[in-house]
Amino acid sequence: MSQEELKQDILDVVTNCVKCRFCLAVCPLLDITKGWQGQGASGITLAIYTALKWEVEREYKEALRDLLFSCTTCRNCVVRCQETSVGVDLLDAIDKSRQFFVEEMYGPMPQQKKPLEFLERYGNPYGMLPSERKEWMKGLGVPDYSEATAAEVLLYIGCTATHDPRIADVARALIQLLKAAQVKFGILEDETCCACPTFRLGEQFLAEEIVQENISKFKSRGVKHIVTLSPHCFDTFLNNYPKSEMQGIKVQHYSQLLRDLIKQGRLVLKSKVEKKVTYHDPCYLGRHNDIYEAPREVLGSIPGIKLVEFNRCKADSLCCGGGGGRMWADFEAEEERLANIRVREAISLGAEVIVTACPFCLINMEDGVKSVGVEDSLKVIDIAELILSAIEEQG
Amino acid sequence: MANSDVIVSDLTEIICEENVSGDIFNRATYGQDAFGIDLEKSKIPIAVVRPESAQEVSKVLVYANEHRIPVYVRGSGTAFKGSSRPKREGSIILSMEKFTSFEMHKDDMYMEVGAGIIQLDLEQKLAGYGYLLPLNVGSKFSGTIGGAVAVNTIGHMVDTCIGKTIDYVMGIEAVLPTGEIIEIGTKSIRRPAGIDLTRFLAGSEGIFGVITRIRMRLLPDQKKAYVVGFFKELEDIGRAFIRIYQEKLPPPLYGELLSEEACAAPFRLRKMGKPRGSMALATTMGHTQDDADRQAEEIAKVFRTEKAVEAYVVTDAKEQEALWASRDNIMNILGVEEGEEKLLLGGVLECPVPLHALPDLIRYFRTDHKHSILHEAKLFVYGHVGAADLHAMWGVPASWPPEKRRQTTIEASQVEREVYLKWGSTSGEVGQTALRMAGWREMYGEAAYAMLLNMKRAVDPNGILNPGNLLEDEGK
Amino acid sequence: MKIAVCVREILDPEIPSKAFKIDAEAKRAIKLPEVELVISDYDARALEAALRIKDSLESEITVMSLGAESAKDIIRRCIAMGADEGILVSDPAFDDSDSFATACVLAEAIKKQNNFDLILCGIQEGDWDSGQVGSGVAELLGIPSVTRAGNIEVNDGKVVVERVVTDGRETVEMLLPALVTVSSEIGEPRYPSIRRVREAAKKEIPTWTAADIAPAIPRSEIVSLFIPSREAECEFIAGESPEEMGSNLALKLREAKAI
Repeated sequence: MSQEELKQDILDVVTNCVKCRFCLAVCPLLDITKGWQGQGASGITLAIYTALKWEVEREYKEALRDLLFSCTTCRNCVVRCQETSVGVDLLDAIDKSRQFFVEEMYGPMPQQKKPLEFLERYGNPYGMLPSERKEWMKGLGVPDYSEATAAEVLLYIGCTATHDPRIADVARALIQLLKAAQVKFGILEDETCCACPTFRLGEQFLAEEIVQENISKFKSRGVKHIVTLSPHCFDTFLNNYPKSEMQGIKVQHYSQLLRDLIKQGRLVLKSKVEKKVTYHDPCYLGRHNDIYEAPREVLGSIPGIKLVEFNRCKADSLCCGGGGGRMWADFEAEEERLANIRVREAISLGAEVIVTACPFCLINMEDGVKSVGVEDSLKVIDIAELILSAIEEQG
Repeated sequence: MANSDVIVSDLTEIICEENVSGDIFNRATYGQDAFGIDLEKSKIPIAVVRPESAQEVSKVLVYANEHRIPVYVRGSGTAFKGSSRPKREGSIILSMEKFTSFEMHKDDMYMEVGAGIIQLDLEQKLAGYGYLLPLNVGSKFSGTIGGAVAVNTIGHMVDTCIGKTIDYVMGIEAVLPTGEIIEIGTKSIRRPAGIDLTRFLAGSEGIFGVITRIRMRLLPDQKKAYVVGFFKELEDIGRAFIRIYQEKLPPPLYGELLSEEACAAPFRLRKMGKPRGSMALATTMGHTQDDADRQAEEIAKVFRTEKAVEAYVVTDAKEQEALWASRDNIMNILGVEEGEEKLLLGGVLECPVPLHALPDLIRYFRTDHKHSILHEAKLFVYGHVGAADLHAMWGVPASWPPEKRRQTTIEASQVEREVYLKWGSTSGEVGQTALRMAGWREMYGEAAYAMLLNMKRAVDPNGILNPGNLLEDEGK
Repeated sequence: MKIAVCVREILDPEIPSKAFKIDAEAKRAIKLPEVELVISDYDARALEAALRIKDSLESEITVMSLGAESAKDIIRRCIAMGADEGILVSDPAFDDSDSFATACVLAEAIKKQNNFDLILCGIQEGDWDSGQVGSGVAELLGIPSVTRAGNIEVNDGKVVVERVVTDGRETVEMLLPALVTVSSEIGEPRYPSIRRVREAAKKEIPTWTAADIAPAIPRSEIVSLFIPSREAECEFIAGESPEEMGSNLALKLREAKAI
């Protein structure tokens, strides 16, 4: 879209905002900043709207940029507006505003340039050379995905697992589960980013280039079923890739596959895990894609487990703060981290474990546990790891 | 007039840096309200302040008086009459958002609350104790209790069933426009006889002072039962509620009406199929479930007598939730089907009428009024038929030029005014000032208007608190 | 206002250290196929400084680079960021130029254009970090120069530079034409969208060779180029108590002649 078209689109979307402010109560940013109404939800969209209408976006570009890129894209405002008000798609306005800003060279945040530059150069936001990317997989005996290996499932690991050792643990746990269930799966030897950071940061052109490359890979290797580790890859494949070109490819998050495998009896959970756990709904499984039950069914089938729910759970889950490109940026206006708030909520529930289903949530929650200083009483464990411990024989 | 940077810096000394903002976008967002039309650039306030105590409010008002700076007080800006938006240039927005104190005095049957508590939060807090918040306003997701008291609105609830907000107000702490702090009222559930200044502040729409804390009587929650009726003719719903009163049945807590057109989108959103006609909802209250159920049965009977094609007591909790949500989330009614042109909010009005005129009012909205542009727009009739207060909303196609859309808003308020004058009623939810003031003046006459202005001048000699809401300058 | 910005193409400094290898024979760093070439960061900031001047003053920015054919990519990226045109100076005769030779070649190229009011460079190159080229060019052109700019303002034929010094800032004013080297304190270079980059990729970049500019003789010669080996050994000092461990550590340090 041209800049003029983007601008008009943004104005068209936000013009419908009736300024009822219902969205403010659910915006996580207002919990971690000084809480001015201009700092979250409709405050952000109205700021962009006002700036574009008055044609002062250049004059205030830094303040606007800081505001615009602070949004975690958790989607709580959109859900609230849909259910109780006129149904403005605030995230659409924010997405388009980010595209507009990036094209004007007013954005993204300085810290976010590097992941974009790395994506262009090396196909991942962490700057890992292609040869480095496969390091974590050494010795696991996972086949390269191709029709020749008769693989049925493409396990899409995602960039964070190849870069962060903690997430590599989760990936390894999942691989063991798939092997235990005798799933015929493979991983792309030349896997690159799904393009999520480019979409979230408004770098539309690069996003489309990456998408085309990936679609060619999927088509030429006969991919029919993709299972992702990260809800972000999942959401990007499902909602950002052109539906016409993804026809015939089933996309699942691994929690959905695990649920299927458990139902089919291919994964038998016999070891007890006697822990009081609470499940943290990730924004990109939950509010973005309405997936609340599959992970709970999976957890529920663990013998001995006790599941307690956060007050703010399911569609009301409190964002961990990692979405929308925020894993790569810090914001001056913020005085607290969402993960710290979530950790304190878990402690007051008496939970011993926060269970996550997303690499960003996991990283943020573990940081939160350390910041709040409760490492001795609260652990952060991914669903895959928990299921694995329920399968393994007690030593 | 003092330079805006100086004002911001002065305010920072008075309050504290954390609670003063001179940021352009903060100012633009606080300076706008739910009335819809964008605020003119020139009226964007100079600063937004968030005091945390009556003392801080007092200091701000003293400063404003000294420098003749207009101050506009704000809960959440959802008054729908433009009362919280600045009418003068160079103003300060005083946001009550930090006044969120909550004190429960169960033994004495009252609570003391900060004016800035969001109504939904208060409702949920009280529910935990077994009390009912005696108001249910559509904008409760952001609306404050201070706003509800200042406007004296109970939203959807039926006045004849539980009274209005002001009936629960036992005491008020407020700051006068010149900065003095007053605390008035009583701690007894027997409210004062005679002069009670709480009655001059509650319902005053911010004219006579800034309400900072409110003492309110607690209302124990009761058992409820739910009725739904579907009618072929919308006017029959009006007749049904007239009958409820004529038969001396206890008025229900809620008596709602939603025309068939207005049901369409909410039903579709919740996958409830096509509406079986225009919908009437009622919620009865009783000390025992039996009591509530019996009242509900009686209302269902009345519905059937007034030609409901279907009327029954709703026992399925999920069904009740869906039916109520269709009515409650009123902005959903503008939703359109895939492929249809989007509808935008054109105009909305709120009209109580004498009971007998309920069917006439419906006809007035639909056919009898003479405003051509409204007749081109899409009409939705809904509202608190049990309180004899109906809403009409006009949706306009997104392709209409902004000028035509504006015209719809203007015509809607004209219809509203015509209804009040025709039937001798006035706003029961939204209030009387700002965009409603000209109508009020026309209705009640010059003597009443002069009395109002005199009272205002008496407590606000420099005219700094919410100036412009009484249209003081017009007709000079 | 005509501005020249000198930029250099370098190996991506963000690559992990184990991907950085030296060809001891050729006395050069090896470019592995999977490693990218990028613009030296200080040079990008110099361009940003030029773009900020262009934001408020009508200007024309020419980007110049001495390098290989591949350097046209970084020149084009500068155009994507808002520069108007670029010139590549490239020839086998210019290979392995040291700072002096580089300064000579760039100075000649600038003289050849002969119309710049302001020349901007990074304070030092992102690979060798010598920091001599900017000042060298100015000396060879006979124009004044100021290094380590944290802020640059142009008005009325003058440039006002805020220099970053150890204990604060120093403001220096120069008449144009002049040269300024730019430090990171100038701020973040703007991010060109990939759409802009692909658009700029179509732009023709002329190459000037030794036929256009005579090469200069490097004044220095690399004797040897190597990555120093670092061996680390970790020994945990034994002891029953912290005090004992402490005194054992002290003895070990004395033995190693560290204290």
